[in-house]
Amino acid sequence: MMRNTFNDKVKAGFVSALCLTFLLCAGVIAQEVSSSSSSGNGSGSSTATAQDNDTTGGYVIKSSIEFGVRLTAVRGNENKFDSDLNYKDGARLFDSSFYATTDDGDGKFFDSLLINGSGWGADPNGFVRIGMEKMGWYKFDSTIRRFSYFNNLLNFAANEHNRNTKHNMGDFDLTILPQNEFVKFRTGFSFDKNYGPGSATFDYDRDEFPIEYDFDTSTYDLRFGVDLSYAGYNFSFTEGYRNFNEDTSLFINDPQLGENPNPNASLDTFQRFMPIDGTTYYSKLTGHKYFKDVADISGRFIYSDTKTNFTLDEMLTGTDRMGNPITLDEFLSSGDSSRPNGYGDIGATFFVNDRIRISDTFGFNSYRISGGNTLLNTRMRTNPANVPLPTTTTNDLVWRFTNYRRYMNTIEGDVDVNRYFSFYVGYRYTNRKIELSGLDDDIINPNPSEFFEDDTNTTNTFLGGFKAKPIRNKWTINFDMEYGQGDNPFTRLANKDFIQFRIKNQITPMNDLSIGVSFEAKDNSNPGLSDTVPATNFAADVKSYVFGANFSYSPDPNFSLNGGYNYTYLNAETDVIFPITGAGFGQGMSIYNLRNNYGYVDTWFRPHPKITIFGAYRVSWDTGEGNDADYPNYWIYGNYPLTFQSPEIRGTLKLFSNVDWNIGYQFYDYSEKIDIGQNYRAHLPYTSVTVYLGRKD
Amino acid sequence: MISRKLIKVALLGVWAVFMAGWLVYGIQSRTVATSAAEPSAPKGTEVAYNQDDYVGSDTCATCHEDQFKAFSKTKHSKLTQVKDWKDKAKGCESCHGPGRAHVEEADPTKIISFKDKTAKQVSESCLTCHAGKEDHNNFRRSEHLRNNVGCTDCHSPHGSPNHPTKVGSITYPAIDSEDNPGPATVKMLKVSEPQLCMSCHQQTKAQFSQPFHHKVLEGQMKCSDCHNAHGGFELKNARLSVGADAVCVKCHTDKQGPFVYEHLPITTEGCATCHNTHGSTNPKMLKRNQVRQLCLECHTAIFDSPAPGVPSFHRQDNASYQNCTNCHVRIHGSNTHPAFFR
Repeated sequence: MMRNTFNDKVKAGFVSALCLTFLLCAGVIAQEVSSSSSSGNGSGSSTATAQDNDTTGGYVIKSSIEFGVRLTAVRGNENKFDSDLNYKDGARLFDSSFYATTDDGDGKFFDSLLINGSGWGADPNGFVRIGMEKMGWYKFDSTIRRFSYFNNLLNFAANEHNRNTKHNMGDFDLTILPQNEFVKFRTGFSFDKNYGPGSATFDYDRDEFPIEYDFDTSTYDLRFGVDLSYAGYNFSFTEGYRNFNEDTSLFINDPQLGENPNPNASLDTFQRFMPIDGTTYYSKLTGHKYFKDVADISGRFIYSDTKTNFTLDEMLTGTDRMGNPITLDEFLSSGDSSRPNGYGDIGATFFVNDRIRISDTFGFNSYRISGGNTLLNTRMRTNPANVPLPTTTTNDLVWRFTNYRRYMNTIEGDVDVNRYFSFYVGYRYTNRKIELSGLDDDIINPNPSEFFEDDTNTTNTFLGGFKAKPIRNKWTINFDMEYGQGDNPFTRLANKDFIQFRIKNQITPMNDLSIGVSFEAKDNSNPGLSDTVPATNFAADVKSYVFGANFSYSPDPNFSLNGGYNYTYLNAETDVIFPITGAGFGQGMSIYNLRNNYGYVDTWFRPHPKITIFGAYRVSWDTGEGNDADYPNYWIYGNYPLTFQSPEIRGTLKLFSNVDWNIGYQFYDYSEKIDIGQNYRAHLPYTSVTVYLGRKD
Repeated sequence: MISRKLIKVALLGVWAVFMAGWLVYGIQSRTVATSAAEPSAPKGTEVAYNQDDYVGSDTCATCHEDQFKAFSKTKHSKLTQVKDWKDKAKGCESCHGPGRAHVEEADPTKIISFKDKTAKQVSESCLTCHAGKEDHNNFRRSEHLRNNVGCTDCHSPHGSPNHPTKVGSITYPAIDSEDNPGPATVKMLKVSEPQLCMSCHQQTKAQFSQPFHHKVLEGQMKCSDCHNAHGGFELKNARLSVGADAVCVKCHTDKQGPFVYEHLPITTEGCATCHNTHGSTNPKMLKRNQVRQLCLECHTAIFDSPAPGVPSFHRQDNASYQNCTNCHVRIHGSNTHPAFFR
C-alpha cells in the first residue's frame, strides 16, 4: 500500500483556516475591547489584579501560536514507520492556544474563551478544543479531532489486513444557566466519521483471497438534558439519540488466485455491499442527596435500546476448488438485531463519625441481544467443459439470543486514623448469568433446530489498602490490594482467581526534587480441566509485575531535569489443545513473555535569557526470552523482543518580545530482534515560529 | 426457582420504595447541604456564622496578596458576579469561613485552614458546593477518595499555578503554562492532563510510549476521555459511552453492534480481554504478539467452556491456520456468518 496521499491543498487550507481562526479571535477580542472601552460600557472597574495583567477593557488575552515545518527522512520499512508514527513532511500547527478572560466576570458575550489546538497539518493527528463561558448564562465545550490511521505490518494477518483511513470526530456540548442552583439545561452533538481504503482477506471455498476495502462509517449523537436541584436533592436527566451508518464496500480490481496451492480456487470478479443502519435511544437519570454528616446517596438508571438493520449483497465469479467455472455465486442476507439494556446503580456512604465511613454500592446490568437474518445463496456453475451444473440454492433463517444480567455489590469501610495514616477494607460480590440460545431453519426444506446453554458465575473479592505519610509533606505511601476472583472468568485470558497489589511512594526530599517509586504485582491463576478422556489439569496462569521509578528536579527557574524507568514483566502460560498435520489433536502450551523496559530522561535549561533548550531521550526495549525453536510440537511461544528509541533536541531563540524561533530534531530507531524487514530509522528535523500575545518578558 | 421476572419486579419495587422514602425523609429533615446559602465549613468545624463576621476578599488581599491575585482570576472569585450567587458566594470566606475574628485578632487559629486536614476533610469542603453534579456524585465512594486522594491533590482552588513556559518536545504538547494556557487553567488543575495523572500512575507513561498506543501523550486524547477521576459506578473509574455501552465504542463505533452473531467475550467481558487499552508492542494493541495465541487460549478443549475448540483441519503447522483473522475477519461480531467470515 502506498504511503498516505492526503489532499495537501485541503490540509493546507484547513491549517491556514485554523491559524486564521486563532488570529481572528485575537482581532475580534481586540475590536470588542476597543469599542467597549471607548463606549464606557466595558469593565472600566478593572481590579488591581486586572491592571497587573495588562487588562484592556476587561479582557486579558494570552495566546501562543506555533506554526512550523517538519521534514521526515525514513530509512528502512516506511510502512512500519507509518503504522507506528505516520509523520509526514510539511507544515504543521503545533501546541497553540488562545485564551481571553475577564477579570471581573462581566464580558459582553463571554467571560472566558479558550481555544487549544495541536497537530494539524502534516501531523497524523490533530485536535482543537474550544471552551467558552459566560458565567451565569452558558458554558460551551467542544473537541474536534482528526486521526490518520495507517496499518501495514508484515507480522499481522500476513500483511493482508491494512488500512489507510481518516477518523474525524467532534463533540459539542452546551450548558445553559451553568451556575443556576435550581436548574441547568444541557444539549450536545457529536459526530464520528471513519473512511478510507484498506485491504482484508476473504475465505471462499476453503481458499483465501486478498480483497480491497472501502471503509465508510459515520455516526452522530444528539443529546438533551436537564439538571434539577431542590432542597439538596440533585437530579440529572439525559435523553439521547445516536445514529450509526456503515456503507463499507469490498471488491477486487483484478482477478485473484487463491493463496492456498491446494485447493486452488480463483476469483474473476468480486464485490460486496454491506450497508448497516443503527440507532440507539438512551435515557439516563441520576440522583444525588447528601444528608449532612449522616449519609451521601447517589443513584443512576440508564435505559438504552440499540437496533441495527443490515443487508449484505455479495456477488462473485471465478472458479471453485474443483476447477468448475462459477458463472455467478450470489449471497444475499438481510435482517436486524436489537439490544435493550437496563443499567442501574445505587451507592451510599454513611458517616459513622468524623473518621469512619462505610460505603455500599449496588449495581445491576441486564441486556438481551436478539438478532436474526435470512440468507439466500445461489450458486451457478458449469463444469470445465462449460456444461451447466445444477444450480444450488440455500435459503436459511437464523435467530440468535444472548441474555445477560449481572448484580454487583461492593461494601467497604475506610478509617482516617489520623492525618498521617488511613486505611480501608472492602468486599465485592458479583453474580452473573448468561444465556445463549438460537434457532436455525431451512426455508426451502423446513428443519428447525434449536440450542440453549447458560452459565452462571459468582465472584468474591476482598479489597484493602492504606495511605501513610511517614514524613509529613515529604513522603507518602499508597498501598492497595485485591484478592479473590475477577469479573472476567468466562475467558481464560482474563482474571479468575487472582491477587494483586500495588504500592506507590511519593518522596519529596527537597522542594525542588520529587521522587516516585512504585511496584505493582498481579497473579492470575485460572485452573481447569481439559475436555478430553481422561481429563487433565488444564490451567491458564498469568503473572505480571511492574516496577517504576521517576524523579523530577527543578533547582532553579532556568533548569529542570526529569527521568524515569519502568520494567514490566509478564509471564502467561496457558494449556491448549490443537491439531497439527499427521498427529491430530495434542495438548501443549501457549506461552507469552513480556520483558519490557522503558526509560526516559528529559532536561530543559536556559543558558541565556533569550535561549532555551530542551533535550530528551526515550527508549523502550523488550528483551524477550527464549527461542521458538527450542519448544516441542503443540507449544506456541510468543514474545516480541524489540528496541524503540527516540532522542530529540529542540532550541528556542527569543527573536522579539512576542516571537520565538524554534529549531529541533528528533530521531526514531526501531529494530526487532528477529529481523523480518520491519526495522526503520527516521530523521525528523523541525523548525517553527511561535507568536505570543500577552507574553510577559 | 424464582422467576427472572419476579426478581426484576422485586428490584424495581425495592428501588421505588427506597426512592420514595429517600424523598420523604429528605424533605422532612430539611437538610439543605448543597445549598450555598450558608457556606458550610468542613466537618467538625461548624460554627454559627453571622453575616457581620464576613470581611470580604479585599480584606484578605491586604495580607495574602499572592493567593488573592491567583484566586481573583478563577471562576471561584467571579462567582460573586453571577446574579444567583451574588449574596451567597463569599470569595475567600466561602471556604475559609468568616474572617472577622481572624483579622481583628490576627490569630491564625481563628480562620479555617486546610493545612492540617486530611484529603477527605478538605474534599468535604469542596463537595459542599460541587456535589450533585453528575460527574461528582460518586466522589465520596471513588477509588481516589477511598485512597485518600482528595480534590486538592489535583485541583488548585486558588487557581491553576502559572507554570513557566518551557519549550518541550516536538511531538508532545507541553504542559499548560503562563503563556500557553490550556484546559488546566479553566479547570483549576495543578498541572494539565496527562502529566497530572501520570505523576501517580507513572506506569501509564511507559504504556503510552509503546509503538501502538492511544494518542494520549500527543494530546489527542485525555485520560478523562475514558476515566472519570471523580469516580463512578464502573470499576477502574471508567466512563460509559452513549447509553450503557462501554467507553471504547464512543470512537470505535463499528464495534458497537448489536450483531446477530456476537463474539461473547466482547459483550460480556469487554475489549480489554484481548487488547491492552493504553498501549502495546503488539499490533492492534493486542495482548499477544501472535493472534492465534489469543484465540487458542480460549478456543481449546476445556471442560465447561462456552468457547468451542478449533476443528481438526485447523492444523497449526499450516501457516494459513495460524492467522485466525485472515478468515474470521469480522471477529468483533458479524450479522451474517456464525464464524465471523463476512
